[in-house]
Amino acid sequence: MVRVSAFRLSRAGEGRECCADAVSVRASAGRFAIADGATEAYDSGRWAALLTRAWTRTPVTAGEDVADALARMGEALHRSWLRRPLPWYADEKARQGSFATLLGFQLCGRSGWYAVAVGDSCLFQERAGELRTAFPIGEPDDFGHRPPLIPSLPGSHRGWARGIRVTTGSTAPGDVFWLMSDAIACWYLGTWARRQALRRELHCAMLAPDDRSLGVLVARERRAGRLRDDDVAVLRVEVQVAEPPGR
Amino acid sequence: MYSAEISRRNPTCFLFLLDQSASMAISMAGEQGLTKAAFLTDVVNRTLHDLVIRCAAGPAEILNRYDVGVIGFGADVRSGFSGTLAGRDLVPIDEVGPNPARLEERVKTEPNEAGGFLERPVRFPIWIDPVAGGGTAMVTALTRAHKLLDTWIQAHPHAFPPTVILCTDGEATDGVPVDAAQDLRALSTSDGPVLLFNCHISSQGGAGAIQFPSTPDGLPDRYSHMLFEMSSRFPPGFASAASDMGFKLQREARGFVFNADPVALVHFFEIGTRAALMPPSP
Repeated sequence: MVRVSAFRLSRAGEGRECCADAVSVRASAGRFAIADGATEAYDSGRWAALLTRAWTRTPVTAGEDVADALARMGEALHRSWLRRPLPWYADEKARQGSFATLLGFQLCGRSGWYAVAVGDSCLFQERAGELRTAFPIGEPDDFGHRPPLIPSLPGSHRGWARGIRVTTGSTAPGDVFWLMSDAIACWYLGTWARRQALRRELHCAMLAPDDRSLGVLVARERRAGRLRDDDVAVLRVEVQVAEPPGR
Repeated sequence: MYSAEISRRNPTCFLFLLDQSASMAISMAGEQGLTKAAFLTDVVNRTLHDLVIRCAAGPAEILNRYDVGVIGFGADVRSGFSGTLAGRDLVPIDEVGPNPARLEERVKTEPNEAGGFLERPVRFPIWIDPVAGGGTAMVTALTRAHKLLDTWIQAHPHAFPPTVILCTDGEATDGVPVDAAQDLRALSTSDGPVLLFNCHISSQGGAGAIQFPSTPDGLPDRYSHMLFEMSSRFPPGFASAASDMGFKLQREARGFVFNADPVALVHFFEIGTRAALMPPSP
């Protein structure tokens, strides 16, 4: 049993439709994903959404090579762009393809998990109030401005696969997993060095019945300069204690 | 300083000051049949093309991260834009993109997956046309830039500072530009002073360009010393752009090229607009 809550928000002053971060959840299969479309790339929000959906829809034992699957998705995306005439700048930019990070997370049975990351979208595991895992980035200072990205034209960017990172771990009842895009992940890591109360507030806001509390928290932290003004996406996955049989 | 994030809510500004005096009608060194005015115009159109492409984010979306201006100085000082944007000073990039004066059909050669090359037609936008006539009203152009950017900074007090790129092939004919350049560089946002980069275009081939010097030592004459003094030091982030092109900038290197040949002129624009590559991504 897992309890899942999700949140997405654009940069300050922009509508939610501008948010290039994507999340996808398939709790029944224990699959979760978050992706961050590159700001300067073409139609990157859609590419991010395609990547997250592909992760959550793919069965655990994938029959298709990852590179082939990516190429297939990228081709479909490019075909959709070229269905109608584009202005010169869109035509030129679309030919460069799109780019996004991806953090895919898989719960395996009752006691294990694995995660795959390309770029600086992060996975954090909390157990009994301690930070047990920070993947693939463990320090706020390690966030850069040129993270590895997944291209929609993998054939033209053959080196991208060197950016793939994989890790595994164990789960226990009560564990909380966070999937976060880079700005809020950087902020979150900073709360472990100071401001524990902010992290408690984050937990409460994610469990609230609507997005308002988290929106207020993000806006306040941005104003305080502690959270970079970037798109935000958060997934909170709590592994719950199994109910005893017969109840 | 020079660390403000460039975004739609906090755009930066690029202002190109282009010599349009009579001497720009002379052939560019190393470019047979192509005048300095035509070559410079082509480089500026290419630079505007690249700035637009960098901000293109969807079928009808250009992220408005830059305001851009082109001022020509020759017989008079005026907006360098042709077509729909004629007469405009600073234009948001999301207006620049859809509004070239015309689109020219050109050919682009690209590597293909089979290891060969493919030629494909591309639409190349033209925003400015070559002009050459009259004197070199550089002081007036710098004064005009000051007025435009003073207003712009009041509206964008925390922006990454504007970048001014001045290209000329000769000396000012309307006075000594040192004070006007100093006034321009004294304008500042909370993130730092305006950047003024100067490029002197060569009339003779083979003389050898002096690129991004850190001291005036080795510059040939009083005029080149003056242009050196008028030029801003590169902020730290620009060194990596220069490094990508094979330049190892000294710590005090200035945004200044003397006696630029065609290749040096292209490099000057690529490094000079380095601010366009500042974060964020993604």
